[in-house]
Amino acid sequence: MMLASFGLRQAMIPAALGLLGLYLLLPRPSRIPRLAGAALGIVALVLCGRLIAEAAPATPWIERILFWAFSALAIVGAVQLVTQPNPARGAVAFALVVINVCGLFLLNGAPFLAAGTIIIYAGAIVVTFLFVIMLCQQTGAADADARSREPLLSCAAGAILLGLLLSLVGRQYDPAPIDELLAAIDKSIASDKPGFENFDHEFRKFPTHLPIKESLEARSDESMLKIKASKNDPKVVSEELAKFRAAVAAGRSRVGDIPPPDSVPVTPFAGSRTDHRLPAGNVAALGRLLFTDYIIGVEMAGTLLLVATIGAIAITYRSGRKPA
Amino acid sequence: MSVPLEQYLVVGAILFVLGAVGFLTRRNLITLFLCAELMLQGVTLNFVAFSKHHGQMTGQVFSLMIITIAACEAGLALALILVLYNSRRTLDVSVWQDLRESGLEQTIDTEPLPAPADEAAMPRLQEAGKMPTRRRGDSYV
Repeated sequence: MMLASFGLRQAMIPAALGLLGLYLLLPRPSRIPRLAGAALGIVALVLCGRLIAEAAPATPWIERILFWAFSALAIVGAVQLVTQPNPARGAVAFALVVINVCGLFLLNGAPFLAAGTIIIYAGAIVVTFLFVIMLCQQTGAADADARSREPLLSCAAGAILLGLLLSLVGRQYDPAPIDELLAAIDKSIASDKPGFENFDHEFRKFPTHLPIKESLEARSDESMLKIKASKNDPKVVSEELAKFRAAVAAGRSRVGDIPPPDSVPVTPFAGSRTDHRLPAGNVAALGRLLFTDYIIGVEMAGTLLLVATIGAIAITYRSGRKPA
Repeated sequence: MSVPLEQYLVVGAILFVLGAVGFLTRRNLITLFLCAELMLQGVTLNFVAFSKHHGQMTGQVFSLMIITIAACEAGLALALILVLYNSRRTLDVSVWQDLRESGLEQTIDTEPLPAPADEAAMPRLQEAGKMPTRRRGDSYV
């Protein structure tokens, strides 16, 4: 099963349904039954999942289960944060989001970031937020928490934004044309008269917005030259066809990528540009990169933290106030 | 093979849009800042997914910078919230409407809130020395 190719129209359906569910769930004086909004939201999530569900051939099932579980819990926590009238419960829901996003970080080979995010967000920021809620809202739920400002308009804006983002992802990462090309090449190889001209039509209508097209064209031109030099020797033709098919198949997993130009330097600390693998030893590699390529950024971030600390103290400091 | 990049991008987009809608429509200052942090989470997820996809650590460095900025932002935001609360004694952003561009009409809540839930649901002891009277809805826990 391949990723279903989808456009704006297919992407708008789950986006609109989901944001309609969010609209029903948002706090307001006359409550609409929460069950209706939650049911709409679940339907939208399932539709969205069907839209992007691609069973990549050799993905371990445990990774798939973890991905869907972490994503679903993160989104449920986010909806809870947005629709919860009580800000304290919202802060706890935000901690749930952070923990699940950290699970997704782990799946992406970023254990240091996962640990750092849990410590900083769930451990420090959420606790500080709860502390401020404790200071400021001692009387319980406030009047403003039970109301939303222009929920319909902002949900419509959100639906449009989400639909556009989804359709952009669906368009950019749509492997359908490359799969068509692969099928045509396979048909040409299997036929009794193999050759590049058999799938000329498919190759020509291959969309130009896919950056892979340029490299495939170069590859095909090179093969044509070799075939011409050997005067259509069937052995050379089948060899070149196999090479071209391998190039197309390799491009299948990188469809939609915009490769960085060669003039942009990639230092060995960041990883290599060719094998698409993260360097081994996440913490060591990240530390090496931070203290070589990004040393100025690290220094500036440290300075910024100091400035923010001083600023926070300066903002809250009130002179002339007698200690209690 | 692993979970393809575009699925992470979609999850990041959903988190970002939820945060944006929350930021636009909620009225509690603290919820607003939590929603801003939610948007940052969506963006960070995109950076980390791209980092894995390209096999380069640069995306993780960017995420680390985002976390640093978010920590600074949270500290300053909480300081500001405390100052704002001290001057108006509420966390509602609507009391700061006079900061708007001049000439815009004020938004006033017209729809009344429903009455708070009945307090009588809490169990209470009977008054001493009197015959207990049973009323509907009384709890005898």
